[in-house]
Amino acid sequence: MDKNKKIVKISLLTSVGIIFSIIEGMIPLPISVPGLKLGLSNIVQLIGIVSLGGKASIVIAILKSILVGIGTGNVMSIMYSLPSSILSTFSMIIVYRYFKEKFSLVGISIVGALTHNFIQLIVASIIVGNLNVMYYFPYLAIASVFTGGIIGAVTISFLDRVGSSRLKI
Amino acid sequence: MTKYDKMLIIVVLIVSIIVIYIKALNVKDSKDNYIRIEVNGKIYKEIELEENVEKEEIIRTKFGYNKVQINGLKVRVKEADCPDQIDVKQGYISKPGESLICLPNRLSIEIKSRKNESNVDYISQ
Repeated sequence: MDKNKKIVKISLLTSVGIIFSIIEGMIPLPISVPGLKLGLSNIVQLIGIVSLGGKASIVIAILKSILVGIGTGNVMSIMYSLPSSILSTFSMIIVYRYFKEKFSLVGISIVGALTHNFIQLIVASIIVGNLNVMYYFPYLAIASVFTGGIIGAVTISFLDRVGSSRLKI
Repeated sequence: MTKYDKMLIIVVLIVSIIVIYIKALNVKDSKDNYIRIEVNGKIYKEIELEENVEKEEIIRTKFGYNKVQINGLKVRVKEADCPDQIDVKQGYISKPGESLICLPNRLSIEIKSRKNESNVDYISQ
């Protein structure tokens, strides 16, 4: 399929991802752990990896981080969302490419969530100048299993319903 | 879900719970705590936490403004000028090792325990 269709699909997934990110920001969380979030927009990344391939999903991750930062007026946030976003997508691409037979999207999504949280805490440590935030990693890891698992399961059921062949290029 | 998915979930849960448990063992005594406020990696101020003592501390640096409220043995960020307000939303913290973080203002407030100083330091660093 041609390049234009791919560009359109990347744009569509990016815009859905931005909407997810913004909606997610409105959901209040009962637990006070910095960095904890549902990771709704990870659905887009997973769909991107499955239907458009690794490079396209990295492009989606980069566009999403930048546009959410600009869109919400929080430009500084790009600096700390971009590395975690790119590396978590990258980790999911690796798992999808080499361990596709072993892990379903549930496992892949959990790996992505773990990487995302870990990199985010590292970025936070660098910015703040101490390693205090790493205290929260085990809590975030437990949360990642649930949030990542749910997001993975939602993506699987989405792909089943839509039929991933319709998304494929 | 495949067999490997389940294995991944179980391994992550077990390892995390063990780490949390070991950390909890090291900080049994939660009296005699103090908070260390750091801005941009440098110590800004240390404040003792005492029961029934209410204090407010205004932190104004070139990175931004935060108002810290100390309510007995609990601490929270009451106001901040950062756009994400993550530190304000975090609410109160009270256990040694916990910290409030405000990335835009390069601020971190950690609860430390004098009695287990070496342990807490060992874990957090």
